[in-house]
Amino acid sequence: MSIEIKKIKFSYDDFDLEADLDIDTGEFVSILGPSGCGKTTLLRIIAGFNRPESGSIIMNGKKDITNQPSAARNIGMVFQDYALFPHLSVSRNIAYGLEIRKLPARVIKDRVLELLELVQLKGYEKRNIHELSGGEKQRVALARALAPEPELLLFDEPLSALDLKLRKELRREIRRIQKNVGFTAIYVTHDQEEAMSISDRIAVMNDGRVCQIGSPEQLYDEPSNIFTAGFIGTINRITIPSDEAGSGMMFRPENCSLYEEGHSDEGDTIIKVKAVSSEYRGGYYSCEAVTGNNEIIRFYCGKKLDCGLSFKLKISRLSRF
Amino acid sequence: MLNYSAEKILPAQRAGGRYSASSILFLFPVSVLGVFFIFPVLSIFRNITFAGFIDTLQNPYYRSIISFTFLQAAVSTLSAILIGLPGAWLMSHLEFRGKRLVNSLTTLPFVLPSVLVVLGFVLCFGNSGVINSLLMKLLNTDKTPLRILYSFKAIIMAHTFYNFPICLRLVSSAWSQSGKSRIEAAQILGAGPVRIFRTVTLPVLMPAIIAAASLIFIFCFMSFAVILVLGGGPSFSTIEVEIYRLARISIDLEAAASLALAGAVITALLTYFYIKLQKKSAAGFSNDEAPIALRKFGCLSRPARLLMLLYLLLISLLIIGPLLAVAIRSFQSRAGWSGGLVFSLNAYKSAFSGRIAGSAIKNSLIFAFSSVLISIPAGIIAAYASVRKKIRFPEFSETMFMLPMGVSAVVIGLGYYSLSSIIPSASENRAVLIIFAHSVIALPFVVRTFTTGIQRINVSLIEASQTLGAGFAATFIRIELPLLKGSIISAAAFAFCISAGEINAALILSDGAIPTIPIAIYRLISSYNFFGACAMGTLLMFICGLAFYLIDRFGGSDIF
Repeated sequence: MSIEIKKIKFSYDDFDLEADLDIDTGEFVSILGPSGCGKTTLLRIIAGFNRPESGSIIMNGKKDITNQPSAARNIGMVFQDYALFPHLSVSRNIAYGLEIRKLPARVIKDRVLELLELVQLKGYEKRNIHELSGGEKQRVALARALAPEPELLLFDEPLSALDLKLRKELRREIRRIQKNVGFTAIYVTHDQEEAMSISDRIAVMNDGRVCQIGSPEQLYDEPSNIFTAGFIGTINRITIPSDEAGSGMMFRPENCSLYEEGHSDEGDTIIKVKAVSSEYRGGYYSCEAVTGNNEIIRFYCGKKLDCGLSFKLKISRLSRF
Repeated sequence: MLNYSAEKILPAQRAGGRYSASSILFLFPVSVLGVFFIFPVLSIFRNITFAGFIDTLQNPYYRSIISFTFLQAAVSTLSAILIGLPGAWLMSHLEFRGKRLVNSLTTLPFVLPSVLVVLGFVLCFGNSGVINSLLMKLLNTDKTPLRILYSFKAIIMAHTFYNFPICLRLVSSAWSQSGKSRIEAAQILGAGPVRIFRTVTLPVLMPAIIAAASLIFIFCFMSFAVILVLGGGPSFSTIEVEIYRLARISIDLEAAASLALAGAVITALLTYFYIKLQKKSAAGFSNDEAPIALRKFGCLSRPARLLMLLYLLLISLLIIGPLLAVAIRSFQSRAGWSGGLVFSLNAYKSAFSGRIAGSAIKNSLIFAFSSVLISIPAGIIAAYASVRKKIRFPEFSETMFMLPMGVSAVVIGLGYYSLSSIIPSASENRAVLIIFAHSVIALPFVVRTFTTGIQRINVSLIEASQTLGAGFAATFIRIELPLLKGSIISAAAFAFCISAGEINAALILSDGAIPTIPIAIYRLISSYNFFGACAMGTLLMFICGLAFYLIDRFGGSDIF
């Protein structure tokens, strides 16, 4: 299912959200941003929990669902706190959406077994919710959301309550299932690594606005604004006085290295800096140096640089912002 | 690979008219509150002229009654707080066996009928009561060593015993959350124990102490059966008792109404203050603070241990002693006119063979069941509407439904009484009026239980159900109702128990023409048939004990 979010406006207290977003059928799109940027609010508008003041949400290019209650949207959702019904067993949780749709018991039973297999919880159908671990709970929640065969699945920071190892394992699995089943996914997260590893495209949000949307590579290599550049990966900002505009420039740490006499290409920028610190990170050093304008530059280096040491840095990809 | 099943899955039904449906439902609790509470209470005004009201308030006799009402409530509150505070420390700082039981027992004041307190008190502290008999044997004398009954002392003692658990409960829960790390931080910064108590602990305790004190004050201010029986006469009359006398004995409705108005304004204001205070203190506590470390009883020094044991013994005696005395006495009878006490079931035989007792039991059960049937649906809808903000002014609605707690049952009863003079058919259906009164008296407890229960349901469960295609009604029936099972049982037990033990409204409405178990007990005490009173009392205790167990078991006890 494709979804178009057109000129959505929503405000509460002194926060206001304005968003446009187009998502294609079968696409996996993450909404990434710091807390308070409005990403969860946008997701809740798509789910139908928050009513926008203006704008519209169009499904499959024709159906306007802006004013439909969530129950009628046929959208699945996976919650941060799992939201499993504590008084129902694993299989009754998964069957919930199917029971509401009054499907025959036989069909429901088959589908529950099928889904349990899909999320690798075969044999868990009789379990109580409180007997499950966090990871298992989120698998059940995923199966439950998938049961009514929604064309769009919303994820609201589904892995943030889990530990790092489990988070990596589950996000791979979510991606695998999404590719197999073929649903469209919108995934809210504040973890840039998670967004980059799971998504086809990422929408970076800040202060109630979508600042950029693109593939992970696009966002990293060609950020259109300083916020995206700084939120995804590390950046260094410098001003170069010789530059005609005299404006700020930025570059990634991996795009600069120690300058060796005679080893520079055309277009490289050479600057003089003084080392401030080097921390060993296993195999390389993470260093900080300061320019003549007192701007801090972070970069990686193969050897330890003593504090106070003056040297030159070669920057290969410098871009204006 | 997932195979999409052959059946076409349709989008679920549209959940239509979410707001309008709930507004219509909300009319039910509103009309229960309006018709059964606000309308009758306002109809009291019919009996008042402004001049008459001023006259009553300026009358020195009524003035002394009003000031005595304040005085006894203030002294009772102070005494209950002082008795309760050491217990609050004990419960929040020590680990000992039977602690859970003590904690459960602190719910007792909310469910224990006042008439049982009176009966137990008379049996324990009466001139020929358990304590006096013991003392007479010990001192080997014929004179009564302790003359407590029918005095100011008796009122204060009964109120203390009845209400100190409230202080114990509220303050100990605040004390245990007074912040382990905050105290440790103060210690590291060099504060001594006195300074820590003053600057860290006290600011947390004070709101709880004030909340407990205001609740106890309200209860004592509106106390009826205790004053009526233990006060023993016009010298110790309070507003409540005087309203009853004026309405039922002197038939001076104008003076009764004037006093009722004055009393209701005071108690309603106090209740409003209490609700605000409680909200504030609940908001002030952050639950991320670790509870303070519990010490084992054995770690205390010897004298401290002795003191604590003595205190525990004293309060257990205070709570359980009178009730135990009632139960024991119900299985006894006197051998001959001046003979000793022997085991017998005579009290039960005569109590249950009498016609009045039979109809009292029948009436009480009918009233209690009916109150449950009215207050549960009304309470669940009212709580739902305000917690889920389905109505405008949800906070206001919450306060309104707590209001019957701030208007005494005697005043509510008087309201119905004046109503029956307007609507003649009402006076022919006094039993129905009692049911309405009981439903409204139980309503604040029921609403409060459901409010707590509904707040505990995670909102994302509701949202999950909606995204899975369930509408408003389906979500309520399939998700919320099952999760509220415990609250429903607790609230029903509250309503049942409050109705079964209620005496004030029933007494003023029917003047005993429609007997209930508490009225029967009151009549039996008045005619000095203590064995019969105890038999009925034990039955009432059994009913309330069962309710108490259910409330405790299903978590309804943490609503205050």
